[in-house]
Amino acid sequence: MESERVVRWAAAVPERERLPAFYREQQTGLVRLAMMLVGDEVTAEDVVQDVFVRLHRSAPVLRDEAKLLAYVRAAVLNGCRSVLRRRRLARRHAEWYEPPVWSAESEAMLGEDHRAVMRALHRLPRRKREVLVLRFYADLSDEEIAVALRVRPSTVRSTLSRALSALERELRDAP
Amino acid sequence: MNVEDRLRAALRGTADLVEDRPRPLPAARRRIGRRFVVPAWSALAAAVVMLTPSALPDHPGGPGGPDAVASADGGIGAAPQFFVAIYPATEFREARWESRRTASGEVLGGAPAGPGEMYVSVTGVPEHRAAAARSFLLLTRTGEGSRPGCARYRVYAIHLDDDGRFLSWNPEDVDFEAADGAPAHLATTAKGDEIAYSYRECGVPGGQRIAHHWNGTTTTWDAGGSVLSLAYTPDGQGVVVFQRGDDGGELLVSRTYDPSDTTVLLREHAKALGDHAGDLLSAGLTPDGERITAVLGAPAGGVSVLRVAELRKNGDLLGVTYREPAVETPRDGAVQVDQHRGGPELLVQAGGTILLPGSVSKAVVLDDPPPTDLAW
Repeated sequence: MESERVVRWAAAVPERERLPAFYREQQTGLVRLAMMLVGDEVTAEDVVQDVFVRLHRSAPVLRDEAKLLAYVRAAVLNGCRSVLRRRRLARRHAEWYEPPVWSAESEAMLGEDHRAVMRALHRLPRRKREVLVLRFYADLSDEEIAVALRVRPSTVRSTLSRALSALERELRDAP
Repeated sequence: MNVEDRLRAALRGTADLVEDRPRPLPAARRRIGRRFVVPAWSALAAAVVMLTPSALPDHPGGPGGPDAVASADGGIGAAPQFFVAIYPATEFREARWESRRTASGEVLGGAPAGPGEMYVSVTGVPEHRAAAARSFLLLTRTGEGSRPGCARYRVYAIHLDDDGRFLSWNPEDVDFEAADGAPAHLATTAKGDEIAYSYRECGVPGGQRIAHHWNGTTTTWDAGGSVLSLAYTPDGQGVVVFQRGDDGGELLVSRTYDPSDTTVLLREHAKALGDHAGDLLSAGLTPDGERITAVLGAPAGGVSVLRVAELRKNGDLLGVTYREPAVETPRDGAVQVDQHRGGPELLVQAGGTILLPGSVSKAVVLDDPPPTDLAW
């Protein structure tokens, strides 16, 4: 036990040195994930960069890269939720923000069917939307989604099933 | 095409709008949502404060209200350059200790605990050892005990360099079995050669006990309450205990050579504190041992207004510092306070916020569960 402690403590931290490489590897995927939720690339970049700046200041003691990615993914989801909360407030105060790429006002080149699906997705409640993005974009397992959303895997399974039904209804009923 | 395929295609099409290109990290934190309105209440809640009793006048506080004291330059005074905090395990991280820069909260070093281990309390060793710039003692739960409900505990010393980075460690001669999960606190003398700790006896109903360990000999006695902090008197002859009993919080000193020789220095409902409403959250002696520093908390909505009162040992109030609004109220009401030997600055942690010395509005607000304990 004591010899293990020597190795463990000597190998410890801070992991700040590893972060730049980790950021380079993961940033595009994370920006894309954030984009699904916030709708524009500039805000998605802001969310991801903010997470990494905070990570740099407070580098966690995580030697398992999979755990680090799960940690960062959860932090990005939190950042997206904060952005969406602020947007609701901004709407009340008639503030302008970048239209989402699936809106008619957006200049982004997204096909009409893709726009319709993304609009329907964004009419769903937050939890359902996040579960669908994490499963059908990020290809995460129930367990990985459960870690990212801090819920039980059984909750993920039931939410996923209900979310797909709700999305189908939205697409059918859309004008 | 079914709904799953349509969704997958739409998400992939949306993702493809984001080009795979380098995005350099900004040097400073970028503000998210800078185009959006920040409500007034949000700005108010984000403002956090720093408290220090430094330079309190040696006279009773005047009727005009407490004196607010903070250095204007945002420096940290004589405070050490870094502190050590211990954290519980979460789903993402093992239990760990971290050294953090005092002025900014930046993480400088740290290490995880082993499987089944957790750090319970941390205290600084004021006088340096060997080549280390700073040494700290960690009270560590090392595993299950010999009986159900019991655990083994051991004290380890860690040695850090000038930059707060880990250099070496060694086990101390303190290894005991006590109730598992019970709160415990740790203290040491200036040289680190005497160690005091609080614990709850294993398998024995009753309150907490305090142990004083020196030169291979351990003396223990009933605490008489729930111990919230421990320290040695500057001369090393007494253990200063802040605890909560039936009559509220109290600060007392027990002589190590005769623990029955106890002096109560301050009680929660002391007359001198009467004008400054709030719970007595923590108390201790100043580094010279001549004054009492008391941290008071008054709930106000979702936050606590923290005040630091300084009193003479005879109970006369010298003054009070405070700022509003204060910090988010900790769920368990616990506030950790540490004072280093070299100056009057206090390190205060309340819930997820560590208040940094030096100026107002300076704090580390933590995303994760707050530390269990911290020390300079």
